[in-house]
Amino acid sequence: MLTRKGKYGLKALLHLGGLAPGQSAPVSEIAETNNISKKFLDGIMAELRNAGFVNSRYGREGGFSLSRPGKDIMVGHVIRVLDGPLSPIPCASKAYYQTCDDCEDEKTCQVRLVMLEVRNAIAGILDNMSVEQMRKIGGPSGVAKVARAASARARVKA
Amino acid sequence: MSRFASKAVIVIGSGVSASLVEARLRATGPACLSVTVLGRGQFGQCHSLSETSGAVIAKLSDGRSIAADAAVLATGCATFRAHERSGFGTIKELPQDQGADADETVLIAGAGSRALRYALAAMQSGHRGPLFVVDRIGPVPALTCAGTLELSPADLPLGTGLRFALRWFRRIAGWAAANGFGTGDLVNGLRPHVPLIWQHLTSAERRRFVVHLRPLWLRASDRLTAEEHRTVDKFFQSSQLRFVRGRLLTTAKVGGSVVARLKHFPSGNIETVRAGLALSFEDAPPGRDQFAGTVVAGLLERGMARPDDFEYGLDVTEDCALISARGAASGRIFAVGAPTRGRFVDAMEIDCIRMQSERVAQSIFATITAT
Repeated sequence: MLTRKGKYGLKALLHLGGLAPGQSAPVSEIAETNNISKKFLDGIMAELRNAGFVNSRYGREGGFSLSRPGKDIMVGHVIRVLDGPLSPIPCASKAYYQTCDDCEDEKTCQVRLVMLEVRNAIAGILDNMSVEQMRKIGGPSGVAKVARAASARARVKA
Repeated sequence: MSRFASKAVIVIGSGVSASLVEARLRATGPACLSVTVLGRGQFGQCHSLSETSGAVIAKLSDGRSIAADAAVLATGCATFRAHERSGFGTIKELPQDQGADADETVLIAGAGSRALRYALAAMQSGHRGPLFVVDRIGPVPALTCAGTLELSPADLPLGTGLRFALRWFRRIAGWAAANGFGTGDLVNGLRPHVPLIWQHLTSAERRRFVVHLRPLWLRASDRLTAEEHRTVDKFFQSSQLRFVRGRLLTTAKVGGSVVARLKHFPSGNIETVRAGLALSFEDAPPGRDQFAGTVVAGLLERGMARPDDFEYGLDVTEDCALISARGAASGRIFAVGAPTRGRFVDAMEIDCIRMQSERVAQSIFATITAT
């Protein structure tokens, strides 16, 4: 299941994807526009920066921006970083593997075998969906929201 | 100028990649297709390649020209030729065939399986002098390992920076060790996914990988058979084969021998070695210099090809078509193997060359049937 962390991380990337090239947005603006706790978002943005999805810049004009175009950042890759593997249950993952207490033989466990297929299907969809494509799904309202926030910030600075 | 009446493809190169692409074209091509390999047999080296609206024209070193419908660059590893230009001997011939005395020291840069197999071949063919192997990582590649830790793309750190990916690797290596898998099993499991990870790295991260991690990865995925391992060990113990962990700083020809300066790791001590012959099995760093003096250099000069973002190889499409300086994909000139190593991280591996040959063959057949 997608956690709040994963969801907010994606919302932040969608926000940054809506900025004009060369622009960056402070965490406070992303948090306010998307109704996310700023403190929580600070941690999420740090993880996204460590994984190389966003760049950060200090100073008055500082903030976060995408490290590469939104079309090159895949949703599945971001979720792996924030939420861990895409598998629906821990025994279907290698990197974050956990055995089930009640399982007698995981090699023949039907639930696990089905979940392995689910995992591959999830990866198939999310790894082929870019932030840019996702941004377009919601229609123009999301784009307008980012533009409004950016222009409000510009007015405050002026 | 001789011109083929039927559809024709020229393959430029004489190595494994040229043979593989030639075999694929012959096996799957139409009966009217003729495949000519330039660089072996009756044909000399290809000097230059040009493209007109309906054909490619190859000029040979003997002055002849050959026109064809398409051309495939399978020129092999330009990096080794780059070493040869800077005073090293050729790795395609044994020391005695290059004029080195049987008792002279031979300096070998790189301790991968290819370098060690060369050293074994030299000793088994009668070389008695010391063989000095210099490598920055370690003495001997691991033994061939049959086990595999199966990994799914859903588990892989795709699209992240290398720092994050390394953290992931350490975590999964810990899990593997705790569950009875060795590093070799993990490397074998990771190997099929490396092209996918590479494909999602940014250009800056790819460059970082090539400079810092590629030697480590090559060593980790490099294998010697048990018999080769035993023989190499025996020669190390007999002290005819000497290993130095370090780096070759400079080499210079002095009279009939080579004087090399080595930096030992981790002490940093500098040692000077005089050898009858020096050979390098190391990757040359990215840069246009790797193509100097080859047919590829001419293509780059005329803008018919461009290097990839960090000049590790040529910029090609997924179907291996050459991309020009203006960004247009050629419909007639393709590349397979080492020249495509910037796009395909495992471009020098047989499986990858087979896959490339398949794609190139399909593209060429589509082009020639459309014209």
